[in-house]
Amino acid sequence: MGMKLIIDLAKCKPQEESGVQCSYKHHPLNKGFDSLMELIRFALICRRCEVAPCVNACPQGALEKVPSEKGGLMDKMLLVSTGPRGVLGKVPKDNFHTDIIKRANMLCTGCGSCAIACPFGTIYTDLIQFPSSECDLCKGRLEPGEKPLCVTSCEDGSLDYQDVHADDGTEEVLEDIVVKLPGSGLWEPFLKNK
Amino acid sequence: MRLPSEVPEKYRGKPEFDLETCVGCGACVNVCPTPGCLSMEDDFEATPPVRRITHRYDACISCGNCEANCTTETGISLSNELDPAVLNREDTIETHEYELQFCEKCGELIGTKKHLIWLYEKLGALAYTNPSLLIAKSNELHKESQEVGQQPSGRDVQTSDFMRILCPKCKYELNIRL
Ligand code: SF4
Ligand code: SF4
Ligand code: SF4
Ligand code: SF4
Repeated sequence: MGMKLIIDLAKCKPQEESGVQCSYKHHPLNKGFDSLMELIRFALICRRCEVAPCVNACPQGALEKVPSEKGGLMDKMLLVSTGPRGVLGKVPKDNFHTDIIKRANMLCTGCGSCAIACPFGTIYTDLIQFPSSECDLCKGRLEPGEKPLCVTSCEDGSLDYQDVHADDGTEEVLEDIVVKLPGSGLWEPFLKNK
Repeated sequence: MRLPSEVPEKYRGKPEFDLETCVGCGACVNVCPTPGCLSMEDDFEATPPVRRITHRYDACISCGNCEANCTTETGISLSNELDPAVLNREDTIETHEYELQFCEKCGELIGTKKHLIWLYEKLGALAYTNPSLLIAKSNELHKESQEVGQQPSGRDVQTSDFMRILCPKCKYELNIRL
């Protein structure tokens, strides 16, 4: 147990509207929240291509597939991936590739090739800017009881920082980062004009 | 020109763009450590809209970062030129232009046209997963017959968007909503 950042995807608005800020000290660009979104997109909406165009496109070898310990995530995706026409795709479990794409941001030059190459729009250039930022969950920088800057600055009410267990409506996509899965359909929060 | 001595092959002289293979992605601009040396600007007002990448040799420290990180490997490389003195400082500035590609759905910038074509070639058979790359390549091959009405088509996704060059967000939209 420990403090976790909880993201309610259904409420999440673009940074210009939510005003979310980041206090990660190694970058001046206030883009830590984008790096979180990048990780979440890779974990949740990336199609996990068997032969991945993004990996093949990257000239720096900065993208690789790493085995995910969160194999159970895929079951949940099937449950919640309901669109207007019902459950989206019943793929047999064995057909899922559980490897998740990871970008080595020290190798990445921000060339944008992966964003152009991905057939599904998983990544876009705003999320992979150079220099990269990284959310470190403000570890070691918070007073007892204090919440990270993103939580206190975000105006759309999508962020919280609490000591919780991931349960049925939530998923710990990454260590200490918990996402509230929207009931309406997992893909929807990522649409432009949702 | 008389040189003081033989120039070793690996001498890090003036960086030169290879305009055949440089695709204008801007990675070199990102990794250049020297303020003002390599810079990039997207000019949406020009006809056609272009990206301009500018190199100022007077600021260059010949570190070789640009060459080492070039997306196409040969887009920029440090030449053997060791005596690039000029009388006029302006002569150390060179600018190259690359035509931009916009999303044919929402009008957002995707990258340079050359970058899409380079990806088509690099990905080989995998490019067939991605109509945007195929159309970009085909547009290049048939420059004269490009008038297929590819203006931004507005907000709602429609089946014909599968045959447009799309930005990542519109690709996602199309894949989910249709
Ligand atoms: S933006 Fe980074 S990760 Fe993507 S292709 Fe370029 S170097 Fe690779
Ligand atoms: S980011 Fe795109 S190309 Fe890469 S594995 Fe995911 S869906 Fe496939
Ligand atoms: S990284 Fe290479 S291909 Fe990209 S703009 Fe620079 S020289 Fe051109
Ligand atoms: S050699 Fe170094 S300083 Fe010169 S243009 Fe390349 S990256 Fe910039």
